[in-house]
Amino acid sequence: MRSRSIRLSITIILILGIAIAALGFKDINIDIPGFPTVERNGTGPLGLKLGLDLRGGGHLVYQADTGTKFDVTFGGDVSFGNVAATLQSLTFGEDNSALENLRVLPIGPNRFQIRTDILAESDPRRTGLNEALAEAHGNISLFRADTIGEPSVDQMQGVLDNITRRVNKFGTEEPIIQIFGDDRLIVQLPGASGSITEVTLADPILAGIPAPVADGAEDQDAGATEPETPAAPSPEIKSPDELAALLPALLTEAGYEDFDIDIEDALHFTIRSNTVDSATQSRAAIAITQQIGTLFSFGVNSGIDAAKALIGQTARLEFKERTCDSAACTTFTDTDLGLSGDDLTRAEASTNSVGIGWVINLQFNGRGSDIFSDLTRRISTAESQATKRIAIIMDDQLLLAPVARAWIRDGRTQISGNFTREEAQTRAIQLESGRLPVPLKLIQESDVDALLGEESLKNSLIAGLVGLGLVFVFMIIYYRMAGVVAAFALMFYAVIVLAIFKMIPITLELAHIGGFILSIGMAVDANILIFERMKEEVRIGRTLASSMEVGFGRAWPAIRDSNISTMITCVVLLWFGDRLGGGLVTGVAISLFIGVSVSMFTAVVVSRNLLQLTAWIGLGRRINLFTPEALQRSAPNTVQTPATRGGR
Amino acid sequence: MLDIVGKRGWYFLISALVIIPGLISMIASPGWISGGSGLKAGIDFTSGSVMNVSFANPDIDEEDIQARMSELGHDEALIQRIGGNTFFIRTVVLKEAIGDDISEREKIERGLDEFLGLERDRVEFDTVSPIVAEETVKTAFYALIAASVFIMFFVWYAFRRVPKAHRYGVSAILALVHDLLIILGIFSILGRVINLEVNSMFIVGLLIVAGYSVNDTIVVFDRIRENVSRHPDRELAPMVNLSIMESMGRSLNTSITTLVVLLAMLFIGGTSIRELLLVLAIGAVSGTYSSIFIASQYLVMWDRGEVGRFFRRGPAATASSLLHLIGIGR
Repeated sequence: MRSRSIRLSITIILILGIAIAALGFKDINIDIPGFPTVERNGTGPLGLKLGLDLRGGGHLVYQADTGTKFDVTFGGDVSFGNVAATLQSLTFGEDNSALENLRVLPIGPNRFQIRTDILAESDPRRTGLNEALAEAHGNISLFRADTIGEPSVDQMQGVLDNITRRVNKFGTEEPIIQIFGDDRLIVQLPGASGSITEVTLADPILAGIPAPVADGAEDQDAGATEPETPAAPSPEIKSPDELAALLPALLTEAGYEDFDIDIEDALHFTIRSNTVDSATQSRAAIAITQQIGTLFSFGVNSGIDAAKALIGQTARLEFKERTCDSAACTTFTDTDLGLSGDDLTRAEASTNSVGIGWVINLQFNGRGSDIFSDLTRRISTAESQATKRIAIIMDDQLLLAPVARAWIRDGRTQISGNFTREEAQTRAIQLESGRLPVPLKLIQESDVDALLGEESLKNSLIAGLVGLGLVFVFMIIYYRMAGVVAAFALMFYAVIVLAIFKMIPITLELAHIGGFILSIGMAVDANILIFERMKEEVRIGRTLASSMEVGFGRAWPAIRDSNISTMITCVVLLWFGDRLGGGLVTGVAISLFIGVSVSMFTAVVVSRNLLQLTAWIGLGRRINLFTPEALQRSAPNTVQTPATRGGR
Repeated sequence: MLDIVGKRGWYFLISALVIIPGLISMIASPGWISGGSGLKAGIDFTSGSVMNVSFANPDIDEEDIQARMSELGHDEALIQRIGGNTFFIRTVVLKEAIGDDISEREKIERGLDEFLGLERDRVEFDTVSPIVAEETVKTAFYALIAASVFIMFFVWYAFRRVPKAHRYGVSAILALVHDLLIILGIFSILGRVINLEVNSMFIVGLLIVAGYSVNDTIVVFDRIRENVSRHPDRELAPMVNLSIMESMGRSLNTSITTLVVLLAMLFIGGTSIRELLLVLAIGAVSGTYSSIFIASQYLVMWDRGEVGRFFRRGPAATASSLLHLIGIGR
């Protein structure tokens, strides 16, 4: 009995140690070869991930990308610059109208996508473009025009639904997505606000600052703290200190806020800042080129980049047969198969059959299965595997190009590769979520503060601690030594729950906090149940040790059944929330489930073990330390039966 | 020993005094027939207006604006800073100008400008769709119904060794429905009286209370299970009474400790989660009450055939049986 208890104590201490370590290290990155890397580095206290309502995040505004789109393929290769120049100079009709809001995107050596404002069917700019381009750059083999008009209410709702689905699939985080006006969409995503800008210079700092250093002088009113000395346009290499003095003014001018500059060496520096939009980024890049030196690279990462990339994607998905000219497949020709995203019924990421590494599972509908079967029959032969690929192309960009290893007859297939979990999931979402009814463009991006306000959050936290303190006081007054045990058990409980929240990781929202508070109530309840039963047993004259055992046994069915019922509620909520899409419902269910499970473990293992320990270290003889009124009520008894007190 | 079971009619009357006005308040709501909830929906659930405003003074924070918006009659405003001194304010749909009255948007702009120095040329204004989709509310509702069914069968199974175990399952669900109706009713009435709105946190609260309510009921039922198995020959009513008295200490202590945490947060905590805490606090009290005074008493009534009699009789007899239950008509 005792050795079992000691082993149990060691286990408890180990669990507690692991939990404290999990909370203590802010960043936890576990990298076991062959397994997906685990990264736990939330921005909240203790490295917890906090949701939109508690912490804030990114605020994105998208607008329906309306306009007319031309898809032009020339007979021969044409340079992008020439086409762009031609388009800019073209005028049409009697009033010589030009193409408004022109954007040109090269898709292939002879293929371009041209976007303009909406052009009516009869607009001379639309009817005349084919001829005008052919005149300038030779014959056109394919010319297609499409107009994306103002979205209808239904279409915007479709966009909202689709994007909600995409974001929800990406993680357990709860976004806020709202239709804004007629053609815009607000998306707020939790966590990871701010951008990291990584700058690499072409030359070590900062050989040959050219004359325009004078530009730096203009920037000074923008809040430079150090008086820069532009009077010395020394072409010599600058010291990091001088760079550190120059950069803040430059960045402030460009529109950076709350930044932190880390100069790594003569070539690299990193800027942590608020979330900066593309206009700010290009201003900063230009300013750095002008005032500091030629850029080798300028990269910006936002925490919400991954999600952002998914949201805006129109996702026109096509499957093509790719014939490579060489084994490396650097040059190739793609053949249309008539197989598109509409034929795909399901795409999901899963671990492979061995359980390590990630794959993407695809399933086609009947029509898709036939085409896919025909395709794989032709290209899965040993000799064609060397040259044939299946090109999966999204919005004219190659997503994946797997080799067919077998003839897939039933339309179910699996794409493997060295995918990380995140890659596989992202690809699967891209494949499955289909196209948006209306293409979107990002028109605004910024950080957003917590919905609840920081002050409010801090007050609530303090209040929660005060409440918990009061509970401890109440328990200790009412149950004496047992109350002390309960207080320890509750602290243990809170640490374990938080550690689990961090390790899963769960993006904490108010919903989780609510579940957590009430599960504290249930954790206390389990302890109270045991102590009340214990008291009863003491009252009828048992020794403390046997009271503990019997009291515990009596309390157990109630603890077990009541908590199982709560777990059933949680599982049902989780199932519904997952199927019918209610992040709110899922959040409550997860936190309540974790809370109840840990509370059961705490009461059954920790409280019980601690009680037994207190009994064994001699405190158990002083029964009044546990139940003060028991002593009063059974005072005559204790005299008559010394065995009760000293029986152990 | 206190005779708790003997006065069982009273407890149902007390609950009815809260639930019936609440139900009336909900059904009397104009939107009830067209599927409205009878609760005052907050801006999480309705379309609204959004303003993007910037202030010249960089020291202005969310709380300043919140205070000013409240003075302007928009307590519901959700305010978020979106970088620098620009704020994103969600409100209910703002009214257009009618006759000589200026539009609400104009009123808010002037009001903010007067005290906080708004940059009026940079104000953006438009309407937005609800934050929480109707689907989520439906999901929660269906999930609760499904969970109730599963719990009923689980309790039936867990109490299989006592006679008529299914009654325990049904009674536990009755207590759950009771608790949810109490909360819905109180919020519906408060919506009328002090304009209290429900937001998504209300749904969260209801789901948590559902978990708590059954949990608490089963603890009390466990005592009954123990006593009934120990004395299978005795009548149910005194056994229930004994069980309630024996578990009273635990019931009170548990709900007191839970309430202490909730009330501490309600009174000294931030304002933004008050609604959630209020739901939980009402739920904690109602959950404890319903375990002892509704679920357990319903078991006794069912055992004595009072439930059937209550419903089978005519109106006059119903009234007299009600009085009888309360203990006046004896």
